[in-house]
Amino acid sequence: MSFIELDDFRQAAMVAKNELIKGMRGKKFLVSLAVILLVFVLITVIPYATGGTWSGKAASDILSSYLSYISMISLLIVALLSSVAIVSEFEERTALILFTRPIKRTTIFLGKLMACFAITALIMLVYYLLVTAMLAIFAGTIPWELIISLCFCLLYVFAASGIAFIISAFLKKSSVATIITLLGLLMVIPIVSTMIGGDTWYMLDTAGNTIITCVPEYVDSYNAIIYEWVEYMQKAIDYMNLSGDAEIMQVAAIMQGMVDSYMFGMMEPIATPDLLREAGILIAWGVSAYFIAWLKFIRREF
Amino acid sequence: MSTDSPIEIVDLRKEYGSFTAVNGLNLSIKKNSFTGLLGPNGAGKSTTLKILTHLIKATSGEAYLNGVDVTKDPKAALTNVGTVIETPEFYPYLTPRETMRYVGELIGMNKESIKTETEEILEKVKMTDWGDKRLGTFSKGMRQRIALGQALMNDPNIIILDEPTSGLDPRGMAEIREVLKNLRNDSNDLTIVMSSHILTEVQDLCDRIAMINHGTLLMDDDISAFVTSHGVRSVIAKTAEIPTAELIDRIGQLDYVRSAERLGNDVQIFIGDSNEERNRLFNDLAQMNAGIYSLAETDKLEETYLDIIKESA
Repeated sequence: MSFIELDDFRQAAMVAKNELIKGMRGKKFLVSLAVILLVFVLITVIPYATGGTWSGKAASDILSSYLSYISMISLLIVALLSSVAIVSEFEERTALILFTRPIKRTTIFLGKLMACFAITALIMLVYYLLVTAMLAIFAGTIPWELIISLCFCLLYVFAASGIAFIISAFLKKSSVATIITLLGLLMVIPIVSTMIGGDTWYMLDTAGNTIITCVPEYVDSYNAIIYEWVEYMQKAIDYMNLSGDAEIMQVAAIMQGMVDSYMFGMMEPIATPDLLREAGILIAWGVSAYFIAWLKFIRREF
Repeated sequence: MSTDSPIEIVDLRKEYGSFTAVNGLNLSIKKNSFTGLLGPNGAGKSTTLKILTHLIKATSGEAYLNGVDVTKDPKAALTNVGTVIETPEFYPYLTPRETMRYVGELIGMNKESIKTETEEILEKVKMTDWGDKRLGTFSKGMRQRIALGQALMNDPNIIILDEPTSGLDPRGMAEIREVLKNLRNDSNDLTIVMSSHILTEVQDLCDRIAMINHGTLLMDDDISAFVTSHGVRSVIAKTAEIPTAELIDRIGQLDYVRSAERLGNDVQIFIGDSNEERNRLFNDLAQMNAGIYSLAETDKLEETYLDIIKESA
């Protein structure tokens, strides 16, 4: 018995095809599409509702507006679609048909991975196409950062799906797997990053933020807001220190701590990302996560 | 491995911590037989079948399907095997024809064969009219017929069934049994192993029985040998009135009667296994003029089953 054969790839493609049909015919796919469209419509309409317009805006501004929430949305879609990929086979007892066929578990895993990535990528692609249309209409240009952002979005989805696969491989209930994936990706990992503090370039969420931080104008405008806040705060602290009142100076000292730590790391200025390094980090997260999920999956018994 | 045994289990063990589910099981399934795997709950039947179908891994031992050890090379071992383990579920968004196509594609069948076999199988399991409806809308019985159908894709020479009628209503059970009977009668090269708790079902379908308890083999023989192995037949005689002690005594004194005892309003009589003794009893009871209006044999398979399980406890 060889480890992997040509027929295994053919079978993996069959599993992926079936998973794609499953994904496309499922409600979660429609919900994901609806979420993407809703976000796009809201971002498009809100400026008009508040008396503004997209006309005359720079491409980088339009891009920044549309990409601000994309990492969060992609995590939501990953949680919806990838977190059930493995657990549902056991929970819904479909494994009794699939796993008893002459097919390796590794092949099944590979097929599921390909399908989950393809479906999530397709949804993200729809969003980026809509953003491209907006840029073409209102800015008359498509900045190259859009392509970089799309690449990072796909890498982020790949890595986050790996985390979803781990959770899916260990748990027994699809609903629990979805909730835990959602909490893990949207809360636990960002909290850990914040607690670590500093430049957490090696963390999944930080690397994932490259989706938006790859737009230099976004980084500049974001940092400008923070530096402006620091400046105002510093002026206030200096003024308070001049009062000579011990209690006021005590409050000023606390405020100085907040300013120096950029609100305990919550308002850190963003560094311009090293694209190659962040891409490597996302790939490393993804490969490690899929490896752990695969190890559990091939050993999991019915 | 013997060519007469498409399924051969050698010193198979499965342990869950301190609990041993399968304890050095050795079993050879005869070619072209329909073997019923019997045993009480927790005997190790399902665990054994799940090891054979690669749903769980054995702690040690070997399990050969068509000469290939499933514990070492499950993909090769399962190549010519169809399975229905418990009541599997299907992808509800697929139709039976799509399910068959998926299974056919997985096992490497070409498009033409998939199409031809799908129609033949749907006919066999009487689901042709439902071939394009989504499985999510099917009843449990219908889904189980499709489960049986998908197991027949690519014309396997081994079929492994784990309680295939479990959870079905009487009609669903009868439908599955009918399909299995037809399979047994129509195939020249098909070995079937089926675990079941329903002894009448086993008696109806199987020609051999393998009994296991505590994860070891107790008996493996033809079903006829199984039901006569204890050499005792139990007959219930129903009387118009409550049987008297005198009547029971008279019956007990017949030279071929092993024992007779009151069982509620009836008399239970134990005789030898020969038809001659059965005929003599019938005549003698008629001559006694004791108001006996019915004679019925108790379920021998059940009795033997219970005896063997009791002895192995």
